[in-house]
Amino acid sequence: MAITKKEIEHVAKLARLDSSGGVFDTLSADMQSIVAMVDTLQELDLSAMEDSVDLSRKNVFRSDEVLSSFPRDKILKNAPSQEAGGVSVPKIVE
Amino acid sequence: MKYEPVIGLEVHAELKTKSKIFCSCSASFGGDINTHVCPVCSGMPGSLPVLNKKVVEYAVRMGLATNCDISAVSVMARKNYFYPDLPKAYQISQFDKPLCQNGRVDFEVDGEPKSVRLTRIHIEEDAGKLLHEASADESLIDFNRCGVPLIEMVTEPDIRSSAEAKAFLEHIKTTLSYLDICDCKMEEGSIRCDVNVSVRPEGSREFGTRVEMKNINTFSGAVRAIDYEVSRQTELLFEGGTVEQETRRWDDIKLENYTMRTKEDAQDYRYFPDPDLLPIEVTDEWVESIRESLPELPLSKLRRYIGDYGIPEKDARLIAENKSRADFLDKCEKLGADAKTVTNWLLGDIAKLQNDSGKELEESGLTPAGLCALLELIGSGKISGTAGKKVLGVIFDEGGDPLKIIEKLGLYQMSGQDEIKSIIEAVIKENEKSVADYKKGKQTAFGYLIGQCMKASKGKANPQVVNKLLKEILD
Ligand SMILES: [Zn+2]
Repeated sequence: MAITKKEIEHVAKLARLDSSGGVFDTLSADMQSIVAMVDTLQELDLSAMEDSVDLSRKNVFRSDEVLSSFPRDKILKNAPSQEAGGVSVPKIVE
Repeated sequence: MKYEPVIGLEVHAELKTKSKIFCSCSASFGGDINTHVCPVCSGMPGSLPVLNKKVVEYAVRMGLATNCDISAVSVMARKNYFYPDLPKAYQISQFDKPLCQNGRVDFEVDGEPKSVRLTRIHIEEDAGKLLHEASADESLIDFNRCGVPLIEMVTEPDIRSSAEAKAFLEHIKTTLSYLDICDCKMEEGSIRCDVNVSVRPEGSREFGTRVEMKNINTFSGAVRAIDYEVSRQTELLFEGGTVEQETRRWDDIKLENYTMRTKEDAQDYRYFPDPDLLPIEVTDEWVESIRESLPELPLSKLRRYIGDYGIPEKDARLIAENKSRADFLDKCEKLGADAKTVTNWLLGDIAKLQNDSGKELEESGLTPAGLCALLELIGSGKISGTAGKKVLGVIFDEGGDPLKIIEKLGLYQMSGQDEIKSIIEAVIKENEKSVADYKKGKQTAFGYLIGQCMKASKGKANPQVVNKLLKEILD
């Protein structure tokens, strides 16, 4: 499978990476070899397998019980900027 | 050429579990900013989500109530996107293996039966809330709502008008409240919907290009948004234009929508199974035990009220649509009250008391047993209908035993013949002129004499008995 520059730009956009300045120009060959390696998985014959869901472990549940949450100052400790108990971010307008 | 709207809905409902879907934080609405938050729901690295069993049960309840197949195996998946209200940068949802599929919702639109197919119902977590008021150049994030459990119900494009969409949404809301799995408080965002709209020439079987509309917060807003979008697309086609596949944002104040995302920058969510969560297996036994716990649903109640009790359809609908009213009526009926009489009280005086006080039935002091006792006292003539309404008001506000309230307010109606006879005789003696007038054929004199008797009894005499006895004595 060939990795085009367009695909790299798409992935970069999804990951919010800055693709300007030609930093990704050399990446298409690298990514192509990574994808080619993963492509070898396609050689496995899985036609006999019915479902990909492994049910050997399943249904791990908790009961609907409220326990105490974290103190707010602890939750906000790593926030780069906070105000009035909230994490403060640049204005979002849709 | 006439164009026909083709509409599909995606309805989100918040489930009313006590705790969140993947952690033990409270899921209740309205906590102080960022006080219902822990490492799991704020997306801290290394934290591990564990699924709340109630969420599965509640979703299966809705699945059964909407005739879905319940998947024996379903899987949680990550939906990846960046937004400040989503701390993990992915929402835990379901993708190719949802909990419920292939459902059907039966309801009525203006008395006509209508069926809408449900593609699926899946479970997922809600996102946080962005507060924009704080300042002009920053927004604040409140993570309290992150991880509140949601079900998302997706319909097939089976809806053909905004009226049908509204009836569908009302029906979903009623069903959620009957199943007791959602608060259904629109003002708190417990039910939200996205709308997919396309139009096609009437009679055509092909679908037109569809536009998705977001930011619809009320059912009446959905009607306005759909009507707007249908006429926008129709006008566009009439003018020879084409509809672009895009996502538009509805503005319910300006009453218009505008492009949010075009096809080119359509989201690519890169779903994949969440490796932190194990598959969910719902066995037949589990499904059956949930099925057994389902209450009677609104449509079946409606049919029972009309068919068995002979309640007029319009009234029956007003009762069946409201779970607390319907429960109230059913309990009164079990206690032996006449269902039609109870309906009249529920939709008349009781509805008025509710309107005036803003109280739900269960927040008032009135119980089915209390109303039944009151109706019996009125029926047997112990108190008048007017006095009954007074007593109802007191019970509604403060609760209490109707007998004691009647005693306290001195509302007993005098029905004893001898007691009333002696009052009438006294009145006749004092009003010889009116008696003579009546005997000369003056009907108003009779009314005057009745009035005097009622006054003499301080309003406690049963007017029918007074009427009958006065006639007997005078004629
Ligand atoms: Zn939490």
